[in-house]
Amino acid sequence: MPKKLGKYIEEGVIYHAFSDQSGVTFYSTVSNEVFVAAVSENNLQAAFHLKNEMTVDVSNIVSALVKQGFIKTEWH
Amino acid sequence: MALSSFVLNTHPFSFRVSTDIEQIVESVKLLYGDAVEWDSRISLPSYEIKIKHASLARKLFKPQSRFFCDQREPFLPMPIDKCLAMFEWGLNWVVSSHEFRHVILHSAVLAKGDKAVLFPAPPGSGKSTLTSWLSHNGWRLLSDEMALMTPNTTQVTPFVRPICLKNNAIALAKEWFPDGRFSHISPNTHKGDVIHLSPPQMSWHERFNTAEVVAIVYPQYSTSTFCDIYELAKAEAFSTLTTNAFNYGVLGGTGFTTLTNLVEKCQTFEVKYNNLEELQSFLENDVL
Amino acid sequence: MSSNSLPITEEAIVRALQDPKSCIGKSDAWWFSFIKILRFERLLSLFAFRCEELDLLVSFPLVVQGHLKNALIMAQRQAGHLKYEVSLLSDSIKTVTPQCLYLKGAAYCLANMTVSKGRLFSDIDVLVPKECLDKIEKSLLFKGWLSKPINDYDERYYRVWAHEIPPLVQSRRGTVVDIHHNLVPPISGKAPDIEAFLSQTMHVNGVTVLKPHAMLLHSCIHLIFNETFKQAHRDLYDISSIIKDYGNSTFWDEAIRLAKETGFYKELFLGCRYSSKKLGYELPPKLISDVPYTSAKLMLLDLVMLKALSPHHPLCKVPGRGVANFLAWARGHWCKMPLMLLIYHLSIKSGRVLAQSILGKHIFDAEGTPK
Repeated sequence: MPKKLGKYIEEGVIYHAFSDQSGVTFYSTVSNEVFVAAVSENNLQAAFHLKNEMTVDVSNIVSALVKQGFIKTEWH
Repeated sequence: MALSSFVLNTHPFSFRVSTDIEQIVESVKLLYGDAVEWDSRISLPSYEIKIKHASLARKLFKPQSRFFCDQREPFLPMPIDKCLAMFEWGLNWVVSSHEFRHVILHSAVLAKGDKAVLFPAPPGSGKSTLTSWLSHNGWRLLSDEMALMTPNTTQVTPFVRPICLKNNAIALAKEWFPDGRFSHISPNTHKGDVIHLSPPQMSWHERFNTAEVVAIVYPQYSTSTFCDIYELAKAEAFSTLTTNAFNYGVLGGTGFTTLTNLVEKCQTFEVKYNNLEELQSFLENDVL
Repeated sequence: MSSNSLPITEEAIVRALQDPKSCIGKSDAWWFSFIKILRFERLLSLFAFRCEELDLLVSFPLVVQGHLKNALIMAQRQAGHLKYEVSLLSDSIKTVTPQCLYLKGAAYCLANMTVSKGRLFSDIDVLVPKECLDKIEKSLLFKGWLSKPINDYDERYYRVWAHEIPPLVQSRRGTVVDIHHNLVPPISGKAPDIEAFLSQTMHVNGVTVLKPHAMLLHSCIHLIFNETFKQAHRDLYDISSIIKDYGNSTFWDEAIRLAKETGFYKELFLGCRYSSKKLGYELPPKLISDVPYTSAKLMLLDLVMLKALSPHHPLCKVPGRGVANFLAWARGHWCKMPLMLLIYHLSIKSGRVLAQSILGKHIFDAEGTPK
């Protein structure tokens, strides 16, 4: 569970995974856009081609989000 | 008519209104009841509103009304027979363009006691028929169109105003509530024929009391369906909610977290129905 | 209840903005008028910002606190999204040309200047080479930017006379961008040498903006070449803030040099003069002593401009203003256009019925109204 994504509330993406496992949502604080993905967290990880477990260091999630164009490198 | 001035003490905002249109004065007296103050003690209203005849020349052959919030005029002038609709839409515009201390959802919200249900719905879903029904059957109206959410809570602040009914809903409502306080009809607006109905006394009386939202219900009137209830997945409920929010964009992250919190804490349903009593029963027995 | 509102003098408004603490204990009637005036003059968020810095909000009536909080939220939101918008815009523009200079409110905000605090701006202004206008417009249209709907007459003014693209609105996000190729409409015959300005730029936070002394000059040009002075009063605060933060000896030398080089010394002189007179601060001797007008002409200009640059809200009573407005407005137009075109333009804007019968039908929206 990538709780550490909460770190990015100030500078990048606010993330929420719905408790009924129905999906996840991101809000980009820089572009003011909301994305809702009706996929489970596991599928999301797979979609981002993340091979490792989500650990304390969430830089792998950030780079995946950057790769997907959700946030730009200079914003975080 | 000379310029008439009064204060609309509609919590949480108040409006000082000046008008030279008799129809407005009569309608407001009928629809807002005690919330209209002619000799108000409120010396600092939230906003200054003027709604008046377009011009003396205009008054003679094609009378129109104009709406102002102080110096700003958000709409083109409208034919005088739509002045009440213009007034109501004007008040909505004032609040949604200036007020950012609440997350404003484009949704009806009603409560029994302190427990509230949100009914976000696009036009044509029969939302106002549902609103008028519930408000005349033991529920209090907090708002017909704008739910004012306190950020990062499930608390909703009432903003009691007349219910706006359109087209087919008008005849239905008149049939159900023969004693209802209805305005005249504003014909042929861009939304069709429009009428306003004042919610019963209890709604006005309770307008200073907040409520907690416990459920979000998407109502969809369907002639062929008695009452089908679907529990909505949270991601889907959230997604639809974001398309209904007036101003979460201005509030940025706060708007987003308010909505995710709301979806998490509330039950979320979609209901297809043609029977209001059944829907009411579901809400009172299974939801609240 | 009386429908008469309390009028407030210009001096009282200026004093309130400069010393917000003096507003504690003001009457409800005063606040009711004050908030309306500030909102109209686009100064509400500036006042809110200053009050917040001084922790004054709790000392004001609840309704006032509400208005100020709303204004602060609005200003914060704008600032927050600007970086992103500019980033996307720059990407599009740079596919066509490297010259991408941000101006005015957007520039103040990107450069993190004090003048940007509590300052709302409605559009993003950017300066590009004239020959690239069409290509840039196409590139942006491709990314979902559309022409803002305006009436036929104004669209023609933009394209044919001012050689500009009308403002573009991003259809999904609602941002408006104004793409300029000059700092003053060239039809006036008084277009500044763009190269002179382009040599006075700086890179900050990933974008190119004018250096502060050039910003001051640009702001002054804008003030004096105003088409309608309806909301010019706020610009006096912009000028004051830039001077306050950057106005050292070198700054003034460079501002004066640039002004003279581009032929806009008069505008610099007048802009600073009126800002300093209205807001009560000193200007350096090197600017004050070099007066580009005869004393008679200066007196006349003062008469007109000091009135035209007062707040325009009806509750701020300024005697003798009606005529001054018209003269100043006419002057603004005069500066922008050759005489023949000016008459055409004036007759459209000021004598609608006459213009319609002579020049054909035009559709006019009610003033300042987004429908």
